[in-house]
Parts: sequence; structure tokens; C-alpha cells
Amino acid sequence: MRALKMIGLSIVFLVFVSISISSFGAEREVAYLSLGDYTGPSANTGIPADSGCEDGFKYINDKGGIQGVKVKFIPVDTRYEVARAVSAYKQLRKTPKLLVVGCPGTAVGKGIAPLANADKLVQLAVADGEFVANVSRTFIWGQCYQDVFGSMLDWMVKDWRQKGKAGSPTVGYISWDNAYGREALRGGKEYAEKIGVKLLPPKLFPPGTADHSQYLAFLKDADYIFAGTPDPTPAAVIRDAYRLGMTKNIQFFCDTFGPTMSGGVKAYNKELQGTIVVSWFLRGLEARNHPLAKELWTKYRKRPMSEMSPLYQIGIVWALNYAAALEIALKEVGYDKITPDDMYKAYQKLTGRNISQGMQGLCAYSPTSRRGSEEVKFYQVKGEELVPISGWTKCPDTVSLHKF
Amino acid sequence: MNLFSAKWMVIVLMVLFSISFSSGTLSAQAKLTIKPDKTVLSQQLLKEPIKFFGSGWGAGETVVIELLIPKGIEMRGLGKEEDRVGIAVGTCNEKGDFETTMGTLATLNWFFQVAWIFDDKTTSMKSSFEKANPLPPGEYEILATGAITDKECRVYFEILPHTKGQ
Repeated sequence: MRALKMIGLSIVFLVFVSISISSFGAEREVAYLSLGDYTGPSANTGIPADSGCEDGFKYINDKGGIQGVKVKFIPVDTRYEVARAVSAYKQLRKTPKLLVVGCPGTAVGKGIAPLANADKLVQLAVADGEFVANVSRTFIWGQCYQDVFGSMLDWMVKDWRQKGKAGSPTVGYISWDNAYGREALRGGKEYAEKIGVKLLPPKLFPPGTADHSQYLAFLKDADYIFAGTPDPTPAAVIRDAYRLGMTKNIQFFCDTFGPTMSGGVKAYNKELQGTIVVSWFLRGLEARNHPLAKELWTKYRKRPMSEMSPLYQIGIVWALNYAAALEIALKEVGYDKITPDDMYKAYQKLTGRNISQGMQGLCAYSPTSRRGSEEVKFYQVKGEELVPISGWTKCPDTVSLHKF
Repeated sequence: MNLFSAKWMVIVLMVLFSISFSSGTLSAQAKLTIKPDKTVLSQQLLKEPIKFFGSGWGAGETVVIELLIPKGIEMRGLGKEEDRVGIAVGTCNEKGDFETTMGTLATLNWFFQVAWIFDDKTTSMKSSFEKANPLPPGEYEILATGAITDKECRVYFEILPHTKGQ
């Protein structure tokens, strides 16, 4: 009888020890899925942004994670293609503790949004005003296209008045002939009317256009021109404007994804002098000298800072925001009970915090806002550099002026 | 006793019959048709893309159409462990029907497997057919899956070999 009791106690002890060992040994992990583009038509922006995100998570994990919880970064190369993204999402949506899906592409973001909503997952998407207007589980990275355009219009009006000119300026708009190229007008057009700016009929050209002269010819009466699209296309537009003599009297503007120092500014340096770039994340030497970006780039990429794209910072901020939200969610429900819905609630509590460490404006996510930040900075091409000509400036709300 | 067993046997058979009948109906309801269902890989596909027609899916449902990758075929952008790639997405109407096409980008990426290179002249990314790795001729299985109902439908699509002059 005594022997049986000893055997029973031994079994209980062994079971207890084995449970303890397995719990101790198991790494506590949550996941981030990126439906990126590494070999497709937007790979030149997809690679630096996702490299920043991957390195941001490495940095967090190297420091022990968030309350001991590590983040698994799952990269998928969608080649910028929606069907591939939806298919990959379907395969990976049941990944244990998958809390956020990142979509570095406008079309991919729109394709994934209804599925992520159904799964109660937080989705990070580019900068469409639609996601700001229709509050859901989709959060945009920073400021939306139309609000950035609105801040340019404000700058133009102020500049016009400072020069002592009467009336209001005439503004030209040139961009790609697709949804992305037109997005800034959805609210931006209404804002121009509201502040009395005369907006010329927008000139939209097909992606891949070699010479933009025929489109620019319609905008020769403008005082200011916004050249949209990502680097280096707007640099090529301004190159053509320079050839037509339009840069002498017309001030050119580009937005967040406009010319970079290693791209368009370098390729068409003479032509781009004086061009203003308006961005919701740091650009030029400010980006290259940012302490955290510098630390991560040199530690994980081991390449000179001159090769770092400013888009690398965006990815770092995705990781930092994720970590900040995870910290809140873990405190509230703990690792075992954490769900995507807890992460969704946590993202809405990041309001007003400097999570990006100055790489972009203060975080604006809240129960009613899906903007990553509400501020932009103005930079100007001077010599080979993009030089800041303003501090962080709050953008006007143009989204509310448009019916989505 | 025998009467009791027979009664239960009938009930069990009826239940089994109704289950098999209803599941058969369900799988028969979710349909996918490809037009054309066989083609030569040529740039004409960019002008006249492959079309997909679906019926019997959920109202408003997203249906993802995937090409199942046969063993030994490598797909650019996919990991070695991946066995499928999405080639089109359909969004159903209230009746559960949809019509969609294989987009230009999907055709370039997955059928032609082009490389994307930076073009200095247009300062944008350009597809390169010189560095493409087109899918070889053969029969490919296509799987359509409903995102809400999980209904599935499998059909076949054939890539024909080029003949002289094509």
C-alpha cells in the first residue's frame, strides 16, 4: 500500500515537473503578417519599408520582446498582386496569435480589408482617405493623400499673400491616371474650392509615360503645380517642366512618396532645385541622421547610411506602433487570452504618443481616427539635399469634405 | 426486436441519404467556369484576359481563385513550401454569382512570370519578358474557395504548346 502511494506521488511529481519544463521552454510569440512586394512592380518601395519593419521587430525581440513576448514577422511576396495577397492571407490567417496584417499596396489593402474585418484583425494600409472616412479595423500609416495635398494648398495661399499678390493662386495637378493618382483630389478638390484656390483641370497620364510635356502644356498658367506619384516619376515630370521653361516662374510640389536624395534628386538635380516635398515622415538628412533609424540600419543591414531609403523609417514605425499596442493589450488581458480584437482596442489607445521617436508626427490613432499622424513637414531641394523648411505642421481635414 | 431494428435501419438510411444528398447539392451549387479553358501563352492574354464565371456561392462572398502548382515548377516570388498562388478574386452578387477576369498584373506575374526591372527612360518599374520564366504547357488544377462559406470548386485549365507562327 505504501509502495503504491509512493508510485502515485512520483507520477504526480513527474507530471508537475514536465508541465513546468514545457511551459518554461515554450517561447511566447505573437505574429505580424506582411503582404509585401519584393520582386514586383513596387519592390523599390516595398523592400525598404518591409526591411524597416523586419528590423524593428528584430530590435524589439533582441531587447527581450514586449513583457517577454516576441514578435514573429511573416513576410509574403505578393508581387503587388491582389489575388496572390488574398490567397496568401487565406493560407496564413489561422497563424497562432496573428494580430496584425500589413498591406504595403493600395489595391492589396482594399482587397484584404473586408477579410481582415471579418477576422477582427487590425490592418495597416497605405494612405487612402477612404479608410479615414469609414472607420473600421484598417489604420493608415501616417497622413492621407488628400490632407497632405490640403496642407500644400494652405502653404501656397500663405506664400501668395506673403508675396503681396492679389486674389488667389492658380494651382495645377498632374499625376498618374489611376485610383492612386486621383486619390488626393477626393477631398483635396473640395478643399481648394473652400479656400478659394483655382484648381486647373487635373492632368493625368498613364504610368510608364516617358515624356510628360503634352500634359504639362495645359498647366502653363498655374502659379503652383503639384506633381504626384512616387519617386522617381515626379522628378521626371519636373525634368520635362524644366525643359519647357516652366520651373522659372512656377513653384513645384511633390508629396510624401516624392523625390528622394538617392533617387529623383540625384537623377535630375539641376532640374529639381527649389522643388518642395511635403512628407509625413522624415526626409533627407533628417532621416539619415535619426538615431534609431541609424542604429537599426547599421546594425542589421550593415550598409552605409547614404543607401538608406527614407521609407525604411515607415517600416520601423509599423513595428514600434505594434509593440506599443501589444504592451497595452498584454497588460489588459495577458498573453494567453490576447486576441486580434484586444490589439484593435489597444491601437485606438495610442493617441497623442510620440511612438515613432520623431520619425513622424504624434500618433493620431483613436476610437474615431485611423490616421497614423496628422502632421507633415516641408522640405526643399537645395543642392544635393532635401532641406527642412518647416517644423511639423498639422494638415487640414479634407476627408470630411468628400462623400466616400 | 427485428421490427425495431428495421425501423432504426430505415431512419439511419434516411438520415445518411439526406446528408449525402444535401452535401452533393452544396458541392454542385458552387461552380466555376473558365473561358477559355485552354490557351497558348501569348501577349494577346493581356488584351483578352482569362475570364472566370461563378455561381452557387454565398451572397456578397469573396471567392479566391488559385492555381495549384504542380511539383517541380517554381514560381517567382513564392516560397518552396508554397503549393498554390491566387490568380483572380471574385466578389459575388446577392444571388451568389460572380464574373471576374485575370488581371494584367496577375497574368504577367503568374503565367509569364516576368521580372520587374527599373527603366531609366520612363523612370518606373517595367516588366521584362526577356527575363521571364513562363509556365510550361500542361494541365493545371484551379481551385476556387469561398471566403465565408468555405465552399470549393475544382476545375482544370490547360496551357497549350506554341505551334509554328504563334
